Amino acid sequence: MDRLYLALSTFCFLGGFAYIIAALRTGNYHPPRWNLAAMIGGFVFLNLFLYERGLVHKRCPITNILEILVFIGWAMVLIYLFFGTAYRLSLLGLFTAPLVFMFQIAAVLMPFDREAALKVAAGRGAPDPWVEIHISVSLLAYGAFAMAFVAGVMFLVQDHMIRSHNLKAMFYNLPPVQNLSHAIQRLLILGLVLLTVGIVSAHRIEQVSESSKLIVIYAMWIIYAGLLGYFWVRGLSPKRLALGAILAFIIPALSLAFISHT
Amino acid sequence: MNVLCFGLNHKTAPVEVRERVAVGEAHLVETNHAVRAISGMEEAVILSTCNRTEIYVAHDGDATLESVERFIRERFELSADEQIEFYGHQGREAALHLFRVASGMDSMVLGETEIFGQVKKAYAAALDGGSTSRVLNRLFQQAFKIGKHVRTHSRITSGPTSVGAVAVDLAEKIFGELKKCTVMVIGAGEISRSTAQSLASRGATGMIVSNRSFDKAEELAREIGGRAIRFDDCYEMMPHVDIVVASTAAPHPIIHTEHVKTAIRKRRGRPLFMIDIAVPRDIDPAVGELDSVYLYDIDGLQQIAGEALKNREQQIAICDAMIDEQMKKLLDRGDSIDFEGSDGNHAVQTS
Repeated sequence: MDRLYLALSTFCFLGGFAYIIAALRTGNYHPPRWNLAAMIGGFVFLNLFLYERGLVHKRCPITNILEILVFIGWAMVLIYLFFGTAYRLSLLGLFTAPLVFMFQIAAVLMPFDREAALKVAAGRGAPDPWVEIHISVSLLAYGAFAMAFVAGVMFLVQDHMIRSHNLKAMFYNLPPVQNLSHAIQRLLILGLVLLTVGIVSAHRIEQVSESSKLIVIYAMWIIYAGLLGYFWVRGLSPKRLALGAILAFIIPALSLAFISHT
Repeated sequence: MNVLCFGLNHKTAPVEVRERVAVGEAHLVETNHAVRAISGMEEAVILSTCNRTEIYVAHDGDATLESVERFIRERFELSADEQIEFYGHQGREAALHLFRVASGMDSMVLGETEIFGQVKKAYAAALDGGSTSRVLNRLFQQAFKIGKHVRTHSRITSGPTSVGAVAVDLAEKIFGELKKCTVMVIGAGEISRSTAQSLASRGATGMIVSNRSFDKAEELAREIGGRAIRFDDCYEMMPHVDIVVASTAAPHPIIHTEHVKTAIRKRRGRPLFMIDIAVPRDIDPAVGELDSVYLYDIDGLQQIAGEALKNREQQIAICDAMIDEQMKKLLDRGDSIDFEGSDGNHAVQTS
């Protein structure tokens, strides 16, 4: 059942993405009711998937790289639903949907040994709540940084169109650069706060077995804090902040592979 | 019952003629009744805007385009030897013409939306005055439906088509809402005046005018509801404004990279939109290379307006097909408006 929910969720994100692409190509882009409906639908199925997997693992379902990707996708959609509507960044969905879709399509195709997972869960004791908090909050931070990456891409696209005097249909549908710049700042702050909580909770864990993971998280924290600090103190331009949000995301993206193999 | 449309517009008559046959809002009801007094005329709607005066009539079959022209000449005191190019449409063609007018396809600025409201007002005046009945009520209701359909399902209204509109669109895509934006106008030229007014009409506040002649700066500031500053103070003001409109008669650039760099540092990342509508240019083009600065000159603005107009023109065939389809639906429904007795179009040039 969990795989069906994931497939349905993936289908929703694909549908939402395809709808906006078609609408933008014809130039008849209207407030994205269908895209929003698809994102909400995908989010609901994603919750059902995570719930089902949670029952199997008897803990937060972030036990392998694919579940981690799905969880980050879930965090991104959650943030999109809050940010997208609150800050009228409706087209954030256009750039979010393909990323989440890519995360999920791999998870859908990957086989999952349910029986083996049930056995592992049965043989394991009750999970340390600090571990659960550390992992889930840290991954939520990844979601926020991923959304800052998405907003950064949107900023650069809009900035380029205005500078090059090349106002295509997308220019009229992308949010104003100032709004995008504010969104990047807020998403980076949100990510940094969540990451801080993740780090603090890691220090409450009784047996920290993999300190290398913590080093990665510290490195991320320093990079993002440095980026925001430089922006505030030295007056970094919004374009460079957007570029920074895009480049900085390389670290969490690469760290996913590292974390899943240690 | 047949329908007929007769009149003139910006394509057929200069403003000197159009202003003579314009019917003010206060006289619409009375003029509608005067049209209905012509033998055979049952219903009438007069559409009078700055670009057109058209009379739509439902008649019993006896009325002719000539009788409407006679009425116009008498009513507006146009002598018989005056050469005026009217046009007339009957039956299906009259309906199609109204549908195109309501869709903004017959407007001076293709796709403009104001005409839709003007047609609605003209119809409302006729309806309230009791000059319409079954035929014109149906025809105009259909025109509103089609006008809305065409606008919604085509790109006939998309893109700004004037320098002022392009500037406003760009400003909104840089800052979002313009309510918190401050505009500084350097130079008191006509285009800078209209551009500043366009920005103010979309909510921009805090208008500042700087000009070599302080008197002229004060005059423009009064007109657009802003305040005047000395010309030399414009550089110090730059960090505090969001949009700069430059249009002085200086023979060389007056705003250089150094001026803007200083302003940008103080703005702490807030973007600066610079509109240079002067020829020769007032702002050094190198300014456009700076981060957080968006620079447009008159050519850039006009190019965007021209492209938007071209895009709208490419929509004409699509919109015509939509109108034809809607017309076909109307006929298929067996509407009792008699389009069969159509005589088509008539260009009437009389002397």
